[in-house]
Amino acid sequence: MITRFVHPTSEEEALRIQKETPNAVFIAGGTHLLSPAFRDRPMAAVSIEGLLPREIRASAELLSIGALATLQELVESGGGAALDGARVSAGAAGSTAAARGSTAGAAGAAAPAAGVELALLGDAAASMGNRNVRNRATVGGNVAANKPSACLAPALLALDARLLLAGGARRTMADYLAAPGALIEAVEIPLVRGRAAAYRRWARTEGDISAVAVAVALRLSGSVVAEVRVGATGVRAAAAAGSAGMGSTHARAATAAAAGRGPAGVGTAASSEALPGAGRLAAVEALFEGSALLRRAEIERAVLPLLDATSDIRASAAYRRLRAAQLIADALLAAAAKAAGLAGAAGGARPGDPHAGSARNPGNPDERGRTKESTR
Amino acid sequence: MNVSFTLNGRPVTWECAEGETLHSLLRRLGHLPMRNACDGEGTCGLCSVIFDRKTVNSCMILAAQADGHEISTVAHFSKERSLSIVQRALLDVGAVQCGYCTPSVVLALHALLDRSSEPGDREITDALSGILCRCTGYKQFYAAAHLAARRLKEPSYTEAAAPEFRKELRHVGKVREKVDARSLVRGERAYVEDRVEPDACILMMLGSPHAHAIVKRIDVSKARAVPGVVEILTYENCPDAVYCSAGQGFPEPSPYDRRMFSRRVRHVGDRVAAVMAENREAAKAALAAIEVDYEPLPPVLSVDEAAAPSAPIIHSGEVRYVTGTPPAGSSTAGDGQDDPIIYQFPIGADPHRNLAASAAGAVGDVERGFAEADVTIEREYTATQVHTTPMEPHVVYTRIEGERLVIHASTQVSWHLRRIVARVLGIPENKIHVIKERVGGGFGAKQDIVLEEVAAYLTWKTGRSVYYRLSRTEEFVASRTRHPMKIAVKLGAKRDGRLTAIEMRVRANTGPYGQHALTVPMNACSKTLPLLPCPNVHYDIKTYYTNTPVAGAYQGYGATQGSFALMTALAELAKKLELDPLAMIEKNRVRVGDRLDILSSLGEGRPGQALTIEQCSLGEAIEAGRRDLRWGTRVESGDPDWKIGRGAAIIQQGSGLPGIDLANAEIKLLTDGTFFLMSGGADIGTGLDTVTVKVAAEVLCVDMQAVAVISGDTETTPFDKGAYASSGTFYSGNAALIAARNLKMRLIEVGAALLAERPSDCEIFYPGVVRGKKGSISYADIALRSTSGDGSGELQAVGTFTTLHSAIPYGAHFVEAAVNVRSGEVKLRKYYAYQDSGTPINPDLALGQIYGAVVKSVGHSLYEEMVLDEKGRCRNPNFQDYRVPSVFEVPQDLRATLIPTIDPVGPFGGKSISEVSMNGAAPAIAAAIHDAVGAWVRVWPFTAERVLEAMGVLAAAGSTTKEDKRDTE
Repeated sequence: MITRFVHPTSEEEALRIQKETPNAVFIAGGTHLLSPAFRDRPMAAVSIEGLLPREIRASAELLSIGALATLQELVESGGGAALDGARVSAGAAGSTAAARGSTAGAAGAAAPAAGVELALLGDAAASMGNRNVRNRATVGGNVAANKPSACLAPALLALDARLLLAGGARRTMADYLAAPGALIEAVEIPLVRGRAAAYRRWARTEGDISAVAVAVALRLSGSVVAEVRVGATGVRAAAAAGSAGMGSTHARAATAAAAGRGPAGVGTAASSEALPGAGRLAAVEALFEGSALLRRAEIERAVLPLLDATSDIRASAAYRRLRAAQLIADALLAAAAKAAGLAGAAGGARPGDPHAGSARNPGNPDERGRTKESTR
Repeated sequence: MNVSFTLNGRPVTWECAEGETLHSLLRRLGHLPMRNACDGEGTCGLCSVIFDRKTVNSCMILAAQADGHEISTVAHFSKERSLSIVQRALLDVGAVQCGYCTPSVVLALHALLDRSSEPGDREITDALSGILCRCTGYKQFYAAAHLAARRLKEPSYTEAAAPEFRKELRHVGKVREKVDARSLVRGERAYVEDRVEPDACILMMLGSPHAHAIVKRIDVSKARAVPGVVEILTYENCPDAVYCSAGQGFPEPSPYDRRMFSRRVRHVGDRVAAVMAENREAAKAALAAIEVDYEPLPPVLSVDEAAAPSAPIIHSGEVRYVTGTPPAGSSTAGDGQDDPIIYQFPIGADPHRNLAASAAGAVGDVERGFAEADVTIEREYTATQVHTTPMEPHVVYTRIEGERLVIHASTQVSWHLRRIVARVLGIPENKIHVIKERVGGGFGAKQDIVLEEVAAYLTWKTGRSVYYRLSRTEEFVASRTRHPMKIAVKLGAKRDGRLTAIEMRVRANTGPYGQHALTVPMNACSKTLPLLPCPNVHYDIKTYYTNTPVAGAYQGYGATQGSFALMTALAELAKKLELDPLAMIEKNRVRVGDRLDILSSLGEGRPGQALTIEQCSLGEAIEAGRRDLRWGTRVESGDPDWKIGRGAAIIQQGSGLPGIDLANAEIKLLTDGTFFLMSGGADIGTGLDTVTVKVAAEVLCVDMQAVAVISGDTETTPFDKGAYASSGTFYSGNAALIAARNLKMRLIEVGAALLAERPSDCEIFYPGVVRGKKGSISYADIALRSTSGDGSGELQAVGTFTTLHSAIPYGAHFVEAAVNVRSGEVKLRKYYAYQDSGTPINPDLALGQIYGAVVKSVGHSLYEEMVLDEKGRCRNPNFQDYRVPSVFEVPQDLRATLIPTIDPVGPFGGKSISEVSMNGAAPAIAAAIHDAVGAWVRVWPFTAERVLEAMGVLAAAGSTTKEDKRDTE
C-alpha cells in the first residue's frame, strides 16, 4: 500500500528522501511493489523514473545495462528473441517456448558486441511470459526484488554480473542477493572471449513463473571446460555438496545466496514455502571445470546428488531436482556446442555428444527436423 | 495530489490519492472498460491501457506515475461510437463472447499493429501474452489480427469467418454480427460493475479460517462502532430460512441445506459475517474488529474420509421431506445443534452419514454380461477439483426503486434468482426485479445464487444500495468449483471388442453444501453411457459432503468427468484386446435407430425418458478425424526425447432438460415496422441473443436489424428457466421462434383484413411485407393502422416452449500429443474437434464456443488443479498459482469442424453447442499419452510429474491407480 508518492528531480535527492522517510521504497516499473504481497504494508514511494540510466550499451570489454531498462527492452536487445522467427525457427505455434529454449551464443562470425550475453539475458527476460508486465518491469527492480523465481538472476549469476550501486560501489550478484536493498544504477557484465551460454527453464505453463530455471555460461579449451558458471532458481546446492570440498569459495557464496531470501515480506503471495532464491551452483561448476563434458545422461546422474529442492504447488522436490539436473545437462551441452562452434570456426573440435543439439527447443519436437510418418 | 497526462489525445489534469493506481483513477472518473480479474496481481491483463504506445496493466501503475505520459483506452479507438479496424475485425471473425477481456484485446492488437504492420502468429501470441480469456480459446484473435493487418493495406478485404449452412435460409446458419458485440468491443457500460452509483455501500464478507468449526461466540459490537459501518449480519440476525443455492427448476433435486449464515462453518471461506459499510476502508476495518471464537472440528477433506464409518458429520440438523418418504435406513432426527435440511423429494440422501445424494439403476443383467465377456477390466479414474474462473467474478448490485428491490445481477438464472431471494427474504416475487446485465463469463458458476441474497437482504433491510463483488481469492474458495470425482469403471467385452457389460460407480464430492449433488454425478452416467449402448449396464452414484470448497455446476456438468472415465476405460480395454481404439469405438458406439433404455432411469431426480436415436453424425465425425489425422500411421518426432501419440474420444451432451425446462418469449411490432423481442433467455456471452434475433428475423422475413432484443430481465421479459443444461439455443431459441410464428400469423390476419383479402391468400415476404392476391401492405403500415383509433391493437405474440424430445449434440475429438520421456511434459500438436450441433445457427460463434471449451478442458486435463492443504485451505487461490490457459497454451493446430444435422424439434434444426466440447480433451489426451509412452495416467490433470510417475520414472505422490488385479482374461 503506497501512502505517499514523490518524484524527485535527481538521484541524490531521491537517495536523501528515501533515507529520511520512514518505510520509503524506490519505485520504477511498480510491477512488484504494487502486487498484492505489499497491499497491507504502508510504503512511501520514491519514484526514480528518469533518474537512473536506461541504456543498454556494450563496449569491447563491458556490457552495461541501465537499471531502468525494461525487461521488454532487454528482450529486444537480445535480438528480439521472443519474436524473431529466424532465431527460433518454427516452434510451437505462437509460443516463446522456442525463445526460451534457444541457445545464446552467436554461432559463427560477425557476432555483435555482447551478443552472447544479450541473447542469454533476452531469453531470461522473455521467460516472463507476459508482455504487459515486461513493458513495465525493470532490470534493476527484477534484481532488487530478489524473488525466488526471479527471471534474470540465474543468467546474471552465470555471467559474473556485478551491480553498480548508487554512490559508485560495485557488488557481485551473489553478494547483493545475500543482502539486497541498495539502489542499483546499472548491471555490468565483463565480456569474456570465447564465452557461450544457454538458458533453460521449466514451468507448468508458458505464462507461469519458473519452477526451475538454469543459466550456464562457459568457455572451452579444446574439449575441456576451462571455466563454467551455473546460476539457478528453484534448486539449491545440497548441503552435502557444500561440505564435499568442491569449489569451496563458490560453494559458500552459493549457499549464502541460496539462504538469502531478501527483505521480509518479499515473496509470492500464496506460496508459504521458503523456496530457495537464485544462486550459483558451485559444486556443479566444480564438477565440470577442467574436464571434458560427459554425455547427457552422465551429467544428469552426476549433478542430481548435488541438488536440493523444496516442494510447493508447482512441483515436488523430487521432480524439481530431476528437472534441474536435466536442464543443467541441456544448458551445459548447448553452451558447449556453441562454444565449440565458435572454436570450430577457428579450427577447434566439437564435443561429440549426440544429444548436444536435442535440448534446443524443449517445446517442440518438430524443431529438429521433419516428423516422420509410417504405417503402423 | 494532481496528475496531468494525455488521455485519448486530450490533456487532462486530475486529483488523485498518492497511492491510487491508474486503474482506480480512470474508473473513478468514468473510464470503465479497464476491467479487473486478478485483483491487481498483474496476471489477467484486463485492465490494459496503452502507455506511451505500449500495453501495460493499469492496476500496476500509480496514477502519479502517469504524469507527463500518453495514455489511451479503448475509447480512443471508437470515437463517436465508430469501430476501429481491430474492433471491426474482432466482430467479423466472431471473436467476441462475454466481452470482458475484449477491450484489452483491442488495445493489445492495436499496439501490435502499431509496431508491426504484418504480424506473424508468434508476434500475436506475444502481444496477447498478458491477457487471460476464459471464453474464446484465443484462436479467433489470431484471425482478427491477420484480418485487421490485411485491411490496413486493403480496406475492403473480407473473408469467410466460418462455413455457412442451410442455403435456403436468410440468417440462420449464416455468419452475422453478434447482436451485443459492438457495444462490448467498444467497452461500453454493460456489466454489473458499470451500474454502481457513487453512494452505494460496500459489502465485505468475513470468511471462516477453519474448514469445519462451530462459532462459539461472535461479537460485532466493536465492528458496529466503526464509522461508516451500516449493518453487520451474522447467524444471530440473518433471516431464519434454509435454502439451496442451485438455480435449478423448482422443485430442485438438491437439498435446502444452507442458511444465509450458520453457527456451523463448513469450509475455509464459509460465511461468518457480512459487513455493509459506506466505503471499503470502513468495511475492512469492521471486518478486522469482529471477534470470533471458533471451536474447530475435525475436517473431512475427501470422499473416502466422508464415507468412513467414524467420519465427522458435516450436517447434523433435522432432515425433512416435502414429499415422499426418507430413504430406508436413513437418519432424520437432528441433534438440535445444526440447521435443518429440507429435501423437496427423496434423492437417496442420508446427510447424517455425509451422504448428500445417491442413485443406482440398471438395464439388462450385468452379472450375466460380465460372465459372457472374454475380457474384463476394472479401473478407477480421479477428477480433481478445478475451478470455473469466469474473468468477471461473482458480483451483484442491489438497490431500492420505489417499493421494489432491484437486483443488477451477473447471473445465468434470473427467475430462479428471484424465487430464491423471495424465499430467503420472505417477500413476494412481485417486489423483486432482477436485471441480468452482460455476464463476464458464467460457465455454470453463475447458475448458483452465490452472493445475491445477502446483498438483497441488506438493501431490503436498510433501504440503501449495496455493491458486492467477490475478490479473486474468494471466487476460488467461496464460489463454485467442479465436483471432484472418483469413478470406477468395469467393462466386459468379447474378443472382437463388442461390449457385453458396463458398470460405473461414481463417488462425487459436493463440498459442504449439496447444490447439484444428485444431478452432476448423474450426468457423469447419463451423458456418457448412451454413447455406448450395451445390453447390460449398471450404475451407482454416491455424492458426499466434505469440508472442501463448494462444488456446483460447471460447463459439462459431470459429463466431463464421466467421459474421462468411460472413454479412457474403453481405450484401455482396446489396448488389452489389441484392437485399434477407434475400431473399438466404432464397434460399440450409438447409431441411428438405437433405443436408449438406460435414459429412463437416468432422470433429474424424476423418471427420465427412454429415447430412440433418430439422427447421429458420429460416424461422419469419426471418419473425418480418421482421415484428417491419418489415423493408423505412426508419427516420429525425430527427437528421441519426444514421443508422439494419438487419442480419440466420442462425446455427447443434452439440449436442456426434457419435461422439466420451459422457456418463453414475447415479440411485438413497433409502429415503424420493426420488432421488439423480449426473450427470457440469459445470454452469458454465448450468442443466445443473436440466436433469438436470428430465428425471429428468419421467421418474420426481415433483416436482423429489424429485431431488437432484451433478455433475462424478470420485469420486462417472460419466464425462462435460465442458461444451463445446454438449453439456450434449444429452449430459449425455440420460444423466440414460436413467438415470431405467432406474430407472423397476427401479421397475416391483420394485414389480410387491411387488404380486404382472405388470410389464406396472404403470405409474408422479405423485407417485411404482407402480400395477398390483389395487393400488399408493409409491416410499418400494418403497425401504424393497427395502433390508430380504428386499429385492432398493437401486434404482440407470446411463445412458450417445452418438450419431451431429447436433442443430443454429439462430437468426436482427436488429439495428437507429444510426450517428453525425460520430463513428462505433454504438448498438444493437433486437436481436432468434430461437432454435431444440429444446424449451427451462429456458425462463427459456434466455432468460438468449441475453441473455448477445448482450451478450457485442455487446461483441466494438463495443469489446472485446486490444491488444498491438510487443513482444507486452498494453496493456490489466484491466477499466478492456479494457471488457466493463456494464449501460449492453445494447441499448436486447433481445428473445429461443424458436422450439421437437422434436429426435428430444435429451432431450424439447431441443438446445443457449448457444453459438449468440454468432454473430449481428458480421455483423448489420456489415450494419446498412452499411445506415445505406454503409460495410463488416471488422475487429471496429467501434469508432467504424474506422467513420469505413470511411466515409472518418478516414484512420488502415488497419484495413479495401479492396474486392477481383478482384470480377467
